[in-house]
Amino acid sequence: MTLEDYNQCVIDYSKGVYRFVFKQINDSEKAKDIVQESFLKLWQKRKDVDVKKVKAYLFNTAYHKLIDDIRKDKYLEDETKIVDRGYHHQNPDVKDIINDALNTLPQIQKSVLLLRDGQGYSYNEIGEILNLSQQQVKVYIYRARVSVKEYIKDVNNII
Amino acid sequence: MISKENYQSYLLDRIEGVLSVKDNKELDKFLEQNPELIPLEDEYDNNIKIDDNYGVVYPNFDNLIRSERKLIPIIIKYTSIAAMITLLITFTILFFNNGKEKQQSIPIAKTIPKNLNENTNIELVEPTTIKREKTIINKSPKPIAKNKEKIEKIEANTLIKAKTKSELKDIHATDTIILIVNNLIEYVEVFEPKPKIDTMYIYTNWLCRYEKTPTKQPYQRIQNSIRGFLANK
Repeated sequence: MTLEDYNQCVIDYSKGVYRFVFKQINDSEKAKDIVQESFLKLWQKRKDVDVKKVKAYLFNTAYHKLIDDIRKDKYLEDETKIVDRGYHHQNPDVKDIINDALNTLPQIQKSVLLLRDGQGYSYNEIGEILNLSQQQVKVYIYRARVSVKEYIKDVNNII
Repeated sequence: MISKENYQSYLLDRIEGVLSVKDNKELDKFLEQNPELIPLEDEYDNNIKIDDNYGVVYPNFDNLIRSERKLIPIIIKYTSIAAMITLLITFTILFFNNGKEKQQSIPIAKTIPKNLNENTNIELVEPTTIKREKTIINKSPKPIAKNKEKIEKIEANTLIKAKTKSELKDIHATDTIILIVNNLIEYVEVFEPKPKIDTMYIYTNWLCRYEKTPTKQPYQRIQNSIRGFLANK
């Protein structure tokens, strides 16, 4: 991978990787750090990374750093607080509700849904990024959508 | 093989219309055997999509862009730094030497007769004499515009003979005395209280420096310097 390839990757994927991470931890500073570290790792391994698979490499790296951070910093505990806050939207629109619903999902479901809906990855690609089988990815997607639907229904009932 | 762990992937394939006929039959059979797993009618909505772009702006984009570190720019960079340091040192030395020179240079005056010609004498005067004169000048300064005009009227390449006083302290007949021509211009700004009609003073503590380098032609150097200056004028 050349310098130009790398910079093109920054242009093409940095925003997507950031959104993918940020949506899962709701911490912009932490998300920036993870993106920075992911691209740093890409730069360091640029000779070994296939340009065609660089996007998957970036998301995979970011995902694993994210999981490490979550385990280390116990972000899962904070997620409960974020979910509580989600109910306090005064005039929530569908996007607000869906985003709040996302925060109620288990980490892995959140990741597969973001990669599927946000990045448009195929089930197979998501499996490669998250080290899951295609069938596992589909199961998580299905469960995630069911949970989101259920959440939306509950919120509508409250409103 | 459909199981409780993976049946939802088959459900998803069915919703998306990619489940094979064979798998469709297997899924139906599995759900018949596990009726509690039959999905509710509105349980799943494939139209609900997560908008990950919603309200998220990445602020750190430029920090990730890398630029090539070429050898030449590095050389230029360090050469520039070295040049800056050299210049700084040079100017520092010049600054202090300049002050030092003003203080330490021998204040030699040369008297140049009004009508310069090849027989004109340039006399180097003892430093103590000049110091005394400078004191007088400072008390009652008068411009020497006339003298300046006279200098300007001197024709270029006028031959000037010069001599040194061998009895001057620290200066010997064999010393090289070099006029700093640029500084000679400063001289015309010096005030002269009582300019003599046929004499003007050149304060060499401003105008020249001397090097105690033995040479066989000290006078010629002075001549050439003065002639050079006059030519420039």
